[in-house]
Amino acid sequence: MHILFFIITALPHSLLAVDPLMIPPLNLAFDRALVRSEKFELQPKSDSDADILRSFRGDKGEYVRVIERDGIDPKAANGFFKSKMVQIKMLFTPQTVPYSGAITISAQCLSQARLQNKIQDHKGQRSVFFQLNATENFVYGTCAPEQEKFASQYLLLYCKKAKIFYELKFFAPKAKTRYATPVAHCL
Amino acid sequence: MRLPLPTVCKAFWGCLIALTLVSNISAAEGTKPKVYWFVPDGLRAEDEQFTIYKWAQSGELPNLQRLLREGSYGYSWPVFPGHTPTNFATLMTGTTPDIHGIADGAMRMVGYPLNTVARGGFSSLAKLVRPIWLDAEQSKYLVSLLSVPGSTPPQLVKGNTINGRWGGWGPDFPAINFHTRNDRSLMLEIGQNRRLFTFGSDLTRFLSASSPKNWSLKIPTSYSPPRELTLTNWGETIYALLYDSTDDHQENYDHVLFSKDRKHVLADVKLGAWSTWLPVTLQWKLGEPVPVSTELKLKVLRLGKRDQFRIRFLYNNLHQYSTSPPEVADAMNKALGPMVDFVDNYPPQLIYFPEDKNTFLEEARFSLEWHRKAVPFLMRSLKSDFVIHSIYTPNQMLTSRWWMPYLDKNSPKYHDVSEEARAQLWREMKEMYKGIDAILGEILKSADDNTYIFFSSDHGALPLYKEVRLNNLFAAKGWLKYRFDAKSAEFRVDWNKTRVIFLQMDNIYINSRGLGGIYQREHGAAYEKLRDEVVQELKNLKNEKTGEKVLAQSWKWEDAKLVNLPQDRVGDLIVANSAGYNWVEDISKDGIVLHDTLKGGYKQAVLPKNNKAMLTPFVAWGPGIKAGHQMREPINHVDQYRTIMHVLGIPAPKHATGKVLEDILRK
Repeated sequence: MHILFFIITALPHSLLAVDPLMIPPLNLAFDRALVRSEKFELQPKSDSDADILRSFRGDKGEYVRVIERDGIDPKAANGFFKSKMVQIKMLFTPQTVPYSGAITISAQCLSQARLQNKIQDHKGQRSVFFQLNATENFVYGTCAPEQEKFASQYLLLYCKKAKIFYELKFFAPKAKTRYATPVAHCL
Repeated sequence: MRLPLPTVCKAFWGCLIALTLVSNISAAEGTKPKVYWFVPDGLRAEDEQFTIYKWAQSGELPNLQRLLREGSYGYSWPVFPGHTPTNFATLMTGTTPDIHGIADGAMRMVGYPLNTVARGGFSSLAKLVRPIWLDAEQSKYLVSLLSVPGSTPPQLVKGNTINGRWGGWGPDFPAINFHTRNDRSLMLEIGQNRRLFTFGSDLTRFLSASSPKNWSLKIPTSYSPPRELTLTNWGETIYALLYDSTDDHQENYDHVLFSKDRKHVLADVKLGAWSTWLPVTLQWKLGEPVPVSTELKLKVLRLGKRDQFRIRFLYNNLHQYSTSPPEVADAMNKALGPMVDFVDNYPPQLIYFPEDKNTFLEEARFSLEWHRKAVPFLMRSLKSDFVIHSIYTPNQMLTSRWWMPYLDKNSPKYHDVSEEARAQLWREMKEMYKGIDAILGEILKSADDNTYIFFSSDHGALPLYKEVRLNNLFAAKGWLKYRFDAKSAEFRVDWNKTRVIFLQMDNIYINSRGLGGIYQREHGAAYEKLRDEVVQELKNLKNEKTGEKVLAQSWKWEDAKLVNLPQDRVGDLIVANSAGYNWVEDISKDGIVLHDTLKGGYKQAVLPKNNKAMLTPFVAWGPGIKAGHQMREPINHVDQYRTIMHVLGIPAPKHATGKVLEDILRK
């Protein structure tokens, strides 16, 4: 039996855990200072950057990217929620076509992205997630089914007590599976 | 038990491991070089008229002069079609359009209806192969992309993507002109071209003035009755009070007072002047409006008698929704001030009055100066060690009405101006090239002994003489059926009854049974007969005044490979126009096929290698690059990627079709 083990111990009292029922086992663990697993690669953005970006992979081609921002007050977190949600939604908005003509007017993405989710606020956390598809380069917004290589969950999560804002992108090789509930939550 | 990874992930991780090894070796040796690739959009460079290397060597472009003295240089050919999306994709992937998939800016595809765009060629998602910025990021470079077409939606994970152009990501607030509704002649002339890409947001809006109401602030003394305008754009309303400050018994308005609430002065601007940058909150429509805090700079272009006015609003488009990560926008705004990225508009609006030309030049200066200041920010503040930087100003200037028709000796309008006037136009054109040179100077200042600088462009430009409305031709033949919707001012194509249609930029779609529904290739005698008839009509198409043929060459879709285009992303016929002509989709009731145009330059559907004006510069500078070396023959755009990857020691993928420019490398 596979055992889920995906924990961020960013601060002693702030834990982020992935829901074991919703994603395939990743068998990964890390904290800010120490890589505990040989199976993922720590990629700090830069020495001076407050944002810590981590990416790691699982046994079945899963791939996770997490950006964590600490010291975030609720007002700033609300700003992050708003801007990140806008950036996702704008990928699927009809666009005026550059170098248009009398007939070539607009392009509309026919993707099946599910963008209706609203921010959930309970148990010391705020979160919202989107079910999206991604290209082989882990980019959202493709409107071409043949380019959709990964099923993905894009999760924005704010742990109130720890004042940490997480931006988590979970990718799995595209299958019928949809990740219909958040893949992680604050502990 | 470990399950096998899916193929796609195997490839990805295999590639990642391989590239990591390469970069680790370089890093271990402490030799990992920095890269600055500056790719201004539409920068023509050749050895007859736009002789930038001669300008450099004569001292007019001192920083380019240094790059030539210490590096290698030559010219580079774009691919067909010769415009931005195809050629940026070619430069950034080292492949031709049949491999990278970007055949155009707006692409139709087999298997999709023709009445909508199946793929946007400016989107990063439309490329079928990886661009160099992903190669660089995987090789542990911290990459920054500034104003690079095809870079959005952002693909970089650690790097910075700043204002990619038209990739369907990030709201863009184009400048707008507010113009008097009394000017009926301009209203008629500008037609649908008053909106972004013809059908987007307003670029010119006609409105009427009225008597001032409810102004509680002290109105300046006016010697003609003050007039009020309500200027609303992107949800932000600014009131303008037109007044006449001169006591000369003439109605000659010369100032405009701006206010958001009629209670407080926002700016008091005299005729011909710009305001400072002013804070505004624009509402971007995304379902419910999204407020975007940014800045506005406004100019009073024209005033005069009562209710004559032309006022321009120019917006800062660097904001939290146009960069990834979002915080970069704030940092750049604080360090560099508001960004002017796109001079004039598309379609161009600063082409109708002499004041428009001056305004164009001022915006060009703003843009060039901002991009110059951005260089050290990218290199030092963002600590980037791999930068790709573009600026659109050259393209805008070389295709504008004011310059190219009178500078290029091959233009029919060349003799329409005096030599003195032409000399002034060359001074203005060279001022833009000097602005580019100043950016190169800043790049040189930021470079060290372990930095490579590459300087190139996506395409040149040549003079435009006539627009060619092929769909008028097809309608006259009875092949295209449409009706005009007066309410929306749009042409409604009857796709089921239409058998032949031209769609941007170089495609003609043909089906003897009609083009409605999902588009599939037709086969058989009826199709071949119709296609042959279309080709014959195009061959017969001439400029009656000059006798010039308009069609340069055509190819059947089966032969798309001959011009390196992807078969599934082109029409049944691919058509290249002769120099001086420009295919357009427009259908007009007058049925005229060859129309005059106010655009001055063009590059889209000409065959680059038939037209020297399409050539671009290629300069390489850095460790291991020969000094003072000029390449004898022009290279191809695909060679640039291969050469850059080679000098960095990053393995190029097998699909990269260019060659390494061994000639420029020191042995």
